[in-house]
Amino acid sequence: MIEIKNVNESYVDGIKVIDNMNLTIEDGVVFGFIGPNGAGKTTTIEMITGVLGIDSGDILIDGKSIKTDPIEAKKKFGFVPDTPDVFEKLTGLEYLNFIGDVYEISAKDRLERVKRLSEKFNIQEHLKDRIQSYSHGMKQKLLIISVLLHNPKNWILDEPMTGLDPKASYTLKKLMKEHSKNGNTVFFSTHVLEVAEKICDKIAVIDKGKIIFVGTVEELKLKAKSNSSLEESFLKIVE
Amino acid sequence: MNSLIGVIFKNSKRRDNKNKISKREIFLNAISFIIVFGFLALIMGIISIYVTIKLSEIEQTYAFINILLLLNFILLFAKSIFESLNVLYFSKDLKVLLRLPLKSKDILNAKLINMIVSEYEMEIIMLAIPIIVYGIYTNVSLIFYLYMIIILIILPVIPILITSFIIAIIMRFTNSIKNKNKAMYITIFVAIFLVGIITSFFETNSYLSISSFEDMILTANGLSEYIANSFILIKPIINTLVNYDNVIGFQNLITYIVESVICYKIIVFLMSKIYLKGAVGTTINSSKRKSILNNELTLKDFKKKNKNIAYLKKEVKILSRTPIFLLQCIIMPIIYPILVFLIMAGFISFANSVGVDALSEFYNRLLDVSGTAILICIGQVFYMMNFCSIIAVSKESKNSIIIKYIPVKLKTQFNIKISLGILLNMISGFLVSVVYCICTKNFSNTVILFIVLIFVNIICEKIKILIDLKRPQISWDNEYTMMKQNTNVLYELFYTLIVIGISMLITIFIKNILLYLIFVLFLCIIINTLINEYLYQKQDYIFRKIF
Repeated sequence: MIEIKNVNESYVDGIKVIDNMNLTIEDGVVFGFIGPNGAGKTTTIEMITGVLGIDSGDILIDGKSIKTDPIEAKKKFGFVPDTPDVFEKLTGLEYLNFIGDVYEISAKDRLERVKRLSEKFNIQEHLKDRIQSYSHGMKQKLLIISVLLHNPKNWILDEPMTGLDPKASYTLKKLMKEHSKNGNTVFFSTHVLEVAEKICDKIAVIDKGKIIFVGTVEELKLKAKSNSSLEESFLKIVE
Repeated sequence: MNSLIGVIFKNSKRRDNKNKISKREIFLNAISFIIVFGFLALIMGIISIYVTIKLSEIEQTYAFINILLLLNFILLFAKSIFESLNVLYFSKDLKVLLRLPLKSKDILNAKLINMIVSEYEMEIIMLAIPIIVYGIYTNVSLIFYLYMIIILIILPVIPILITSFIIAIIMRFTNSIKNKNKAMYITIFVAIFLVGIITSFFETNSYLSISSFEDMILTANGLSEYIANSFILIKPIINTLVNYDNVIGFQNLITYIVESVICYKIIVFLMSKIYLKGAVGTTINSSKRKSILNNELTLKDFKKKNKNIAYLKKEVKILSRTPIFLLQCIIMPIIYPILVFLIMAGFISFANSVGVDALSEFYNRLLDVSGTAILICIGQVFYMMNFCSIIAVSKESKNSIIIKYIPVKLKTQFNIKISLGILLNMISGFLVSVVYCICTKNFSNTVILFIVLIFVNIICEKIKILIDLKRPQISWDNEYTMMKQNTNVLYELFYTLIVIGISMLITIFIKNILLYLIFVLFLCIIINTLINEYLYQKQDYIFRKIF
């Protein structure tokens, strides 16, 4: 469970990029986070994950505050950033082992999980190559595997489908659904509204640093008085 | 073309991830830069005055200009090898530029002009200030300064162009090597070899005997003539500044300008014929592939390690697998001290052979408290030349985001990042202590000196990473440019000068060596404790600029 409580953030004094945000992402749901470019999606995610500090308010991950108990909070989630920046001079396997060591995963668990996930994402043949030789999509797959490696309860994914091939994208969506069905949390941002419509149990719409809607896709359509697609409802609500 | 030059310039200069900086921050940055730059300029000026006076005492005043230009020219050649390779072939902008409808000549022109311009920052400190000091001391006219400005503008052209051409030829053939790192290493070694051979063609006097050295010193400005005649590539610029007040100076300046322009035009033309093939080769993503049979994962592939050791291993791998980092952060800190001590030994033996008892003078100096202070300063200078910690965060570029979201305390990551630098610095600390022990034969003082040097080392590495965290350079185009244009090094130099100043200042008040060492040790412990306290209390604040 992720709880965002009265959070404010500004890069330049006086200009808020996140304005008094309150949001609860319950266990057992796939939660989509949508909004136009520059609305504050990545900033929010970076605050949840401790990449950015919080000016005021607090964020709790399974009850642990990212502000006051960051190490314990960080152990509770796995995070895929919006760009697949990984240490290019390492091999895929060395990177996964590094993450495995940081999260203290046993060698046996690593072998089982890496084998299973690398086959699912069709990257097993490249794990012993340097990451600098990977394509954008392969780096993204490696990042996703590294996040799933320590089997976190909360998944936080920033534009996770970017660069993935159709099969990998399908696999990830399936994994997200399965993970939430097991009582865990999946929180992800996306620009692809069809994806959000298909797999999200709940969505939040953010615009100019403020949450302007939280609910199901159907509720959004009702609010926007639109019977057609999520895209149309989204456009109506952010106008 | 002009817009391409501008785009490449801006892309390489803007390396933080901030869009808006507050006026207060701009003001503070400017003030701190002016203080650091002014201080360094002052130090460079004082050294220049000292050297000019000493040389004028033995009627070798002109030699100052010659030595200065020669050293900078050699430095330019050496640096250009890495710079050409990284900027022309391994920069991230290449993938963007190659898909635009641009002629190879345009890309080359834009990149080469940027490389030339990027040398000017260093030239201001390393060349302009000493030459101005020389000019003031020798009371030259305004025309001297005008010539100086023109020379500073065109000086980097020939070294950069010759080196880039050599690199382009090698890359034309090594581009078939699919492993980028291997191609890079091969190119660097072949280029060093070829640059050495080519520059030696321009060197006319290769051997200097003791008797001819004595003759040269005894003749007025003999050293200056020797340098000018030996290195014909820089002869025109030397003659320009030495003969600024007559027509010879003007003729030589025109000669050098014409030489540089012809060199630029011819080399760019030739390079444009071979550049694209080499450049395209480097953009192909590949690296060493293990045999397909070897891809089966087993338990052997996953050995669990302590998280701190895993973190350190990751740091070492990043440094050792990037040629410029390997050179500046691992090889140089090992080679520098050994090389300096070998040169010192050679110098002492040379001095002895010409009848100067340099060794006993050196011994006597070490028996004095100022000698001990000088050894601490030498240790600090060696520590300064280790780049491990000053790029500890910047080297990771945008990957440094991981620092923030993995469950490892920031202070732990801080300590792991400095540990490699501390370890490598131990070599120079050990060598300095050995020299002290051999000369003074005082074992107890040597042990205290070694402990002092360890503390100076630890504090230095902590200060370096604090500088990097204060001004992280995480958006860079290639590793070499990040290293070269990293102005944090100036702050590191500033810190070193403060350490030297304090070390020497204490000798005014404490004349007993043992007392001096104990006092410095005590001071180091206090400073180290204060830094630790600051780190533990303010770790989030210290790391705030990483994303």
